[in-house]
Amino acid sequence: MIKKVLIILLFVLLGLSLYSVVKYNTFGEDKTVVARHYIDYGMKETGSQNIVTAVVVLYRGFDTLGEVTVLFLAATALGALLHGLRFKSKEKEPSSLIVSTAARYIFPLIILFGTYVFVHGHLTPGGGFPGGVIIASAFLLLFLAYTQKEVSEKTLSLTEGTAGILYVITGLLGLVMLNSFLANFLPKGIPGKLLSAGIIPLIYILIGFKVGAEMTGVLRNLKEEEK
Amino acid sequence: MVNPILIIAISLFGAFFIALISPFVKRTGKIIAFLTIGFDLYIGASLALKSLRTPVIAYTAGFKPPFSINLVVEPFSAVFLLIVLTIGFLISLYYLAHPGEEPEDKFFTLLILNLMGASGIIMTGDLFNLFVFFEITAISSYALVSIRKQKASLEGGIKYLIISSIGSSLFLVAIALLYGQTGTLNIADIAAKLPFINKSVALVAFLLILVAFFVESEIFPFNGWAPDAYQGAGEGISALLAGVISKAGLYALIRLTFTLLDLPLRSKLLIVFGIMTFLIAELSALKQKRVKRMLAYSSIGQMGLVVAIFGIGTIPALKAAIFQGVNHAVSKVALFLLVGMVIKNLGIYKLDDYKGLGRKNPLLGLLFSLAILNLLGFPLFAGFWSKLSILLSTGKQGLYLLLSLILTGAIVEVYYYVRFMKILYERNEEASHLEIHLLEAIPIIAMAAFIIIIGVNPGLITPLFEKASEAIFMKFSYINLVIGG
Amino acid sequence: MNGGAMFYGAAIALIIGGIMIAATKRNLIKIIIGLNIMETGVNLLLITTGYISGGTAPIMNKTWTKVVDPIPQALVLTAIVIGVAVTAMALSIVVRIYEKNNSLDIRKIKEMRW
Repeated sequence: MIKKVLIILLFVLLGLSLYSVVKYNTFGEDKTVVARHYIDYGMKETGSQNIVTAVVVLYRGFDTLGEVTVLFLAATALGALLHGLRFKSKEKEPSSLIVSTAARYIFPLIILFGTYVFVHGHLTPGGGFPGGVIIASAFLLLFLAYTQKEVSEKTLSLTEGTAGILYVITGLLGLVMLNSFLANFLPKGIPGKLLSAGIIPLIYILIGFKVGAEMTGVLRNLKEEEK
Repeated sequence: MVNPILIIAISLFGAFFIALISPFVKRTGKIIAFLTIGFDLYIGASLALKSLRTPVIAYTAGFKPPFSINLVVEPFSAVFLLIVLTIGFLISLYYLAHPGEEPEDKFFTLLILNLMGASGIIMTGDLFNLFVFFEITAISSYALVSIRKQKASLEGGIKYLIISSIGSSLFLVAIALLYGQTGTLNIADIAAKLPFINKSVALVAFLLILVAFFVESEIFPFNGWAPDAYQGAGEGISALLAGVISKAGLYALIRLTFTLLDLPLRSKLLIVFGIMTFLIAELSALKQKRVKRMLAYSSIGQMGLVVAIFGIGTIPALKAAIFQGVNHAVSKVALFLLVGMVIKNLGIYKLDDYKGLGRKNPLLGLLFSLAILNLLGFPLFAGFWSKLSILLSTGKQGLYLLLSLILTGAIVEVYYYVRFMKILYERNEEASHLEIHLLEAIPIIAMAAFIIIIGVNPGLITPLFEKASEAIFMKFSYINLVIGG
Repeated sequence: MNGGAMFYGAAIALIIGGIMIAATKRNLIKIIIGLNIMETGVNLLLITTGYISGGTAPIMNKTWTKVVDPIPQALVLTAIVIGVAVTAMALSIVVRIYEKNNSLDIRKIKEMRW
């Protein structure tokens, strides 16, 4: 008991000391040269109305490539770790008629919504990652409603591999044409239009496909194997 | 024009390509990994050569730092890049003749991405990008450690994951603090603004960074995961941990504490924690019954020694630390790969089972002894020169207590390694013969050749270390390089 | 005390609480939940750092006057994805551990020594 209290005290102390430092960081004040630059010139430089997207895909696009890699890594590692796993199979009840019927109608709508989100990433909040996850959630619904349903590993692998390679190639094209990896080599267009911001929508579409395939793969692997 | 981006791009290309074709053509991962990593090494080596004359900087997305992420290769990072990629290449060569862990294609994808992450950590000039690459390396390491799916490897993997993700979250807190103070994420930019950062914020950020990278470079008391991870992982992966992952962590530790937050406190903390790690790990190695666990503790100890010497912070000491780091990587990787060959052939894990193996298999015995003698710093081996320069640089600073502690640890080290060699060469009629595949032996023979050549003529490589230590010592040249011109 | 006290305080509380859960609980699933709470805290801290009073989301349509700092938002997007990846990794290792030991308690898993 005393040990527990001591541990809690220790952590509270740690928290207080951390807080005493954090409060030196200003709150709510306008600051930072870099952010100012993005806000003032971001739309002109990238053609994207959504500045967060401009930062994610162009200014810090290299991070995003890494982020996509992390997700790819997790999907691969999950596949590797759960490879050949067999739990004692439990008879699964098929889901009720209501769920399976509703799923059939909602599934295409969710896919459509996910596509909308990643195609409009440079105009509205959202983008490749949320869009991809929305698409994966459609597959989750499918897995729940139709317990026997399988998505073939080949399709998923093919999608994520192709999208990944195209992403790298887009980056390399920037390197070849503008001597800088992931540089925007397409015309910027008029900000606010669907066809604007150069490579941003292109990359977000690739990310959308890739994230969708990877998250579906993760769900597929975590779903109890029944054979 | 060699561009550092190519290392990242080609690795990703290789990894995605394996994912693309693996459902259709099985077991191509090995070859693709070998080719990809070979190409990485080629680019890395030409970059390193070039950076000795003029440092290489690459911008991404067509904007200049601090508005976009940049990659920098200057002598200090060049040395680490060379270590990491060479060791990675030798490990992939070793796997050509050695079965990878199942499922093989995924295993090699993870291997490629792990090396990509490590080289990304070394090359990046952006703090948050470093975090991303750090996570790529870490996540692939968790998977590589636990992919064997035995009890020990799962245990090592989950421990590593828990400790390391707490560490990386603390690193992220440090990033948030520094961003709040300076409004930028570029390492050089933050370093230039250090005088304007609130003193206590800088101190806390420094401590958080220290904890985060102590985890990765296996420094006590944040190394609880390391022995289990080394023991549970496949032998090639243990080699990877010793030669690549811990070295990338070490690079980040040194880069961030020397260039980013150059606080006077650094020296004391690095020396104290480093030497503590060295002594505790060497004493723990003494009582181990399993070869891999013994090597693991020895590896942790060596990392401690290197960190302590870095802590001294003078140019000769930095040079000695880099040299020792290289020697440790080479020797330890060779030892782990040799152990892997023994395990593959005979399936033995305990020290006592090695009785007479060296006598029966002269080549194996020779390679084992070379690697061990190099690690111990026997005269005429590369390790001798690095140990000598460690002692000289410590003595020159008048740190006699540190000197005596290093000697104590070194004596313990000599004791258990000599004991191991005695076992290897004991008379034992029942010792089994083992077949060594030539391809498997090539990486180890290459490392042995390196040890001997450098041992005879250390002048071949010391100028490189000289340049590297100057590069890390003078942080303003780094700052000027990135944001000055 | 400035206006950020609540947000900064909550972020720190989540971080410390998460670490405490991860360090003291014995059930692997609870440990992973602790890690997730900690990550949430870090994300909140990052986002709070970028807040500008009265700012809206940095989308430059015709009506904008003042927007918040876009960089932390981009960073948090990355951090969330990384958090998901780590959690998925952790869960898959835990599934395997459960398969081998039939237990999630780190005390019962024989070789586990902390």
